[in-house]
Amino acid sequence: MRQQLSIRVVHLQCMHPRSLLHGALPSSLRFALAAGLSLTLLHLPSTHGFSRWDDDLDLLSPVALAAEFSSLKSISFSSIRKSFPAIQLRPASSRLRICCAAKSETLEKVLKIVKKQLAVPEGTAVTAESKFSELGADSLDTVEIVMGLEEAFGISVEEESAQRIVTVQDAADLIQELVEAKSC
Amino acid sequence: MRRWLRWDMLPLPFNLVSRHLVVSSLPSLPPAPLPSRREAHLWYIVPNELEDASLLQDYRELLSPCEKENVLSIKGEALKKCAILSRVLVRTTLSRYTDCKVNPRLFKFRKNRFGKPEVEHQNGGLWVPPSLQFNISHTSSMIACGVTVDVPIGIDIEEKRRKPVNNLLSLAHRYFSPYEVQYLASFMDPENRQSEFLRLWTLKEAYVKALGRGFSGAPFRDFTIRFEKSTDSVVPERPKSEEFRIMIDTASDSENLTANWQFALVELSGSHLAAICMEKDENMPGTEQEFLKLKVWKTLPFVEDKCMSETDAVINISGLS
Repeated sequence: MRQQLSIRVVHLQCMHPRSLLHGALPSSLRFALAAGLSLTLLHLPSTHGFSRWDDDLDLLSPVALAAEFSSLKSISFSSIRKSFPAIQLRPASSRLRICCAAKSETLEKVLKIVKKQLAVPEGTAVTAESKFSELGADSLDTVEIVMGLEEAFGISVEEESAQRIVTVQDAADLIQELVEAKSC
Repeated sequence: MRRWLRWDMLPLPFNLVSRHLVVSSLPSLPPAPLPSRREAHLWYIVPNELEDASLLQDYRELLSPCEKENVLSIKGEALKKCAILSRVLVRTTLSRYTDCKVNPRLFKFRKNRFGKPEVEHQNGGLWVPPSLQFNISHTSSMIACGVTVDVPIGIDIEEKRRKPVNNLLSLAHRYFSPYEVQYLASFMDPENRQSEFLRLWTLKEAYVKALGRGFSGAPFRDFTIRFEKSTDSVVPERPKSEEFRIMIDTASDSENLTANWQFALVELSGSHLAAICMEKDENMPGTEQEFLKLKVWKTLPFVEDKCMSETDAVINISGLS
């Protein structure tokens, strides 16, 4: 039977496929990838043209994605105007696999630091999607967590960036970004 | 058993046309007189003292649909309870200052552009509600709400015995100003250092919350809180040696960080530190500007209110007149 989950239209401007690999994915896509699903990316027409999906591809036009979960086995992302061929992006590709492994290691480390800081009630799972506010983190907890993350990863977090963190995943994404920026 | 019809809890300023029955299972709140210009009122709840599940249920009914949804998403019963009590405290406290003309349920809130919550005043009708400013703070064992009229306020409470997970000096180096780091480092005894850390922390938090610009709008290291010994005593009977004032210094190049704020630091209930920060009244003569007037109540809304000012439950550390 069809399962309708909430539909979220994500409008991505000028997104290079490489940036998809580096973690700038919206959470709906990330969830899909994590679940081992294959994605079908449909593309809107653009003046610059668009031929195939590979390293040299430059997505110069906005891509509108809508997710509809028809079963747990597949997701199709369809654009509002369906007039172009589907492109398949398989999460089983090695590039994505490596990228996902690094990110999951970061997430594990972040979860460990968060659990150490917050005395989370019995039976409450702390996951990537957990919101800090829902875990009972107050401002002192938050700064302690940020400091713990800075020390563990050897990075420095700006107050403005820290303020945007809502979920544990947000923290992991920010860390990943900072770590990669540091290594460039 | 507690249900009856309330004719007098009417949404007067918002709906003059239709008088309607408000079926409520809760009794009325006693009204409270408004704080004066230099006064802050502090109301607090101790969550552990609420054991009545049906009362918690009645409290939940006071929340807006959005607040109820938020409570649902919170993990763990204790945290859910705190979330409910936090909203109930704000709503009931504000209601008291409208002479109970405004049902706690009816308050609407919005956030300023930096995210600070404020009352959304709905215009219409002959009755103009007072311009109430409020700020909430909570720990797992206490929830507090500070209220003023017209004047921005920020409060922060912390358990006296709270021990940060990280090293205190590391935390100070990362977040505090150089002066404050030095000040903390001068305390060799770990307990004293912990106590001073929490004092600085709550005062800094209260200031940032009063400013209403968010943590990044007023980075902790860009301003200094310090304790200045008062060499003269405004009130002669106060022992001079224990008297100190809470001062704030801001970097001269920061436009957003203003220094016309007054602070008070009190010990609440023997267990918590509470820092209150409110804007100074520039029209007040110099010496009178120094001290803040504070009235404190402990409450279990609709059940019991106890005035705690002038009792052992409120011990002035600094700043109160």
